[in-house]
Formats: sequence, C-alpha cells, structure tokens
Amino acid sequence: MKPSTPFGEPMKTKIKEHRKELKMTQEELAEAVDVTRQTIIALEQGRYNPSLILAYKVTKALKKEYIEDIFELENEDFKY
Amino acid sequence: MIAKPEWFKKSKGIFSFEITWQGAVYLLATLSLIFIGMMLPQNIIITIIIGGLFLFLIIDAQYAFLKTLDEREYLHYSIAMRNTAWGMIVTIVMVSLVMLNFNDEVNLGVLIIATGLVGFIVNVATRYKLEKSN
Repeated sequence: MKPSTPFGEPMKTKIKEHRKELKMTQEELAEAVDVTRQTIIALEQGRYNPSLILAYKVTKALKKEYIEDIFELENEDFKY
Repeated sequence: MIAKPEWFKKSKGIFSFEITWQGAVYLLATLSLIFIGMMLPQNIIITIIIGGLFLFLIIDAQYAFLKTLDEREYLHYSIAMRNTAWGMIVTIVMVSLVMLNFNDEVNLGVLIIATGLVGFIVNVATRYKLEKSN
C-alpha cells in the first residue's frame, strides 16, 4: 500500500538536493519563500503537498525554471 | 484592524508563539476590560459596550495572529478548529442529555466547563497528530 499524507497522495521532491547544491539552509529557504522551517522539513520529507503558489516560490528560490524540476508525483499512472 | 501580525509571531511548537511588548500590552489592555466591566455599575448598556469591545479586540488579535501562519499551519489550524467545534457540539448535547436524565435541569456552569475542556483537548490532540504526520 502506498504511503499517503492526511491530504492525499504524497509528492516526491528534490528540494533537499537542489538546496544543498545552492548551499542553502532550510532556514534560508524558509525565509525566502515566507514559510516556517517546519514546513520546509515537511516538504522535503514528502509529508506535505504545497499549494501551487508555494511550489512556484520554492522552484524559483531554488533557481529552477519549472515546478516539475522540483516536484513530481509518486504515482504517474494517470491519463493525460 | 488594530493589532499588527508582527506583534504575534508563531514559533516552533503546537501553541507556542513569540509575543512582542506591543502584543503583550494589547492583550493586557483587552483582558483588563473584564475588570473594568466588573468595576463599573452594572447596567445593560455598559455590559453591551464593554462586551462588544472585548470581543472585537479578541477577534482582531486572533485575525492578526492568523496572518503569521503559513499555509501548512493555517490548514492545521482550520482542521483543529473544525474538530474542536464538532467536539464541543457533541459535548453540549451529551452533557445536557445526561444532566436532564439525572437532575431534570441543566447546570450551565458544568456545561460550559465540560465543553471548554473537551474543545481544548480535541484542539491540542488534532494539532499534535497533524504536526506529527504532516
């Protein structure tokens, strides 16, 4: 059975990898996107699915162009 | 809106938040209205004015505090408040039924304390569970 968050299917994120590439701390990223450090931890661990706005802000803070560069679905078995 | 969000800054934990001196003064002034209300001569106009002002300031402070939460915390807060409301409704009904069954009357003091207590417990439990899992 797939793990899930209380609000649905979790997303895989590459926040941690990209954050480390930029030598950024969780605190700095949290400040850049105006959330708490606990929210960044929850995002990195895939325990929280962000809103589109937060996902966009995180993507831009990590100097990436597309949201898909950072976030992807755990289960891609859906019809486009 | 009188209170400023920067006066009430949420910090790590379920209920913990940092409060600046402006926030402390604001809350003390709000709470002091209760004592002012008790000192003044009791009449309906004064009670309505003091009560209305007190409610306005409390809601205003809560509104400012909510602005300090990020989207994940706001979601947790909303779910906790929904569960709290349901817990309190169920408690009111159950406690009233039990008291009516045994005493043929409802003790308002007991009902308020029981409802407040259940609301508090449900709120803390929901936030704790959500903070752990999400």
